[in-house]
Amino acid sequence: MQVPSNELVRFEYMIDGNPIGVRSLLGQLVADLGKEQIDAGALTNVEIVFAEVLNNIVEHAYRDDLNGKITATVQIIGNCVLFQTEDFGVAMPQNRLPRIESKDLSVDVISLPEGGFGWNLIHELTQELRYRRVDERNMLKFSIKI
Amino acid sequence: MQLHSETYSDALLITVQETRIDAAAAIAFKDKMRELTDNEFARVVVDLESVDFVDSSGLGAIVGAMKQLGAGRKLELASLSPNVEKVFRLTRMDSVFTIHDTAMSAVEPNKLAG
Repeated sequence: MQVPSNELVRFEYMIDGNPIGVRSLLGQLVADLGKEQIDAGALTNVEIVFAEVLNNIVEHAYRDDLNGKITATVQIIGNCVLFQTEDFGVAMPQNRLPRIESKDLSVDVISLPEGGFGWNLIHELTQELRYRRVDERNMLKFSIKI
Repeated sequence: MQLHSETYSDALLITVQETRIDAAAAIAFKDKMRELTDNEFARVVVDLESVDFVDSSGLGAIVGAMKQLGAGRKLELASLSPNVEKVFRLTRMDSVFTIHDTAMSAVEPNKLAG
């Protein structure tokens, strides 16, 4: 019996957890996925989400440690891209994903938020977002439709 | 962080000469904006034509740059690329800023195209 073959497209990356490492990973990922003929809108979503995920690891998990390693695995399966990131930074507060906060933007300019947009962007554009703390590792998994 | 500024009759036009306003660049952007807007222009237009990526840190820095202007002054944006426009739309920050298609339409709206 012929079984349709699923070509497995998978990329693995490792960077130092700092903003320059994040830029380089994003550039490489967009180039790698671009070769797989993923459309521009989906690539935008990937870059938006992954920038937020990586920035969170750099700022909150690794804080002042500019050399903490972040590994990322990216797999294209059907009409989804599956992501997994691992880092050895501090755990998420209460060992779980932060709640979404909807922001009141009708306030005066002086009171506008300058942060906290990241998790909303992640939730908007991903499916199956999951976080686990295993031993000394943070593991985040999510998928993005393409 | 390369920003270029030009004065017009009723606005200060600041052109961002970087492709990304992201976590690596956010603080430098906000600091440079503070320097360039340390004047009396009531309207400051930021031309983002060269910028193809803004993350939440960059967005926060743009909000911060607006707050730095102080009362009675406005920060407006121009030439948002599709990627950047998407981030503003998903965060609903497109409702907070006046967004122009082009920098020229923001600073010289009465000039006929030609």
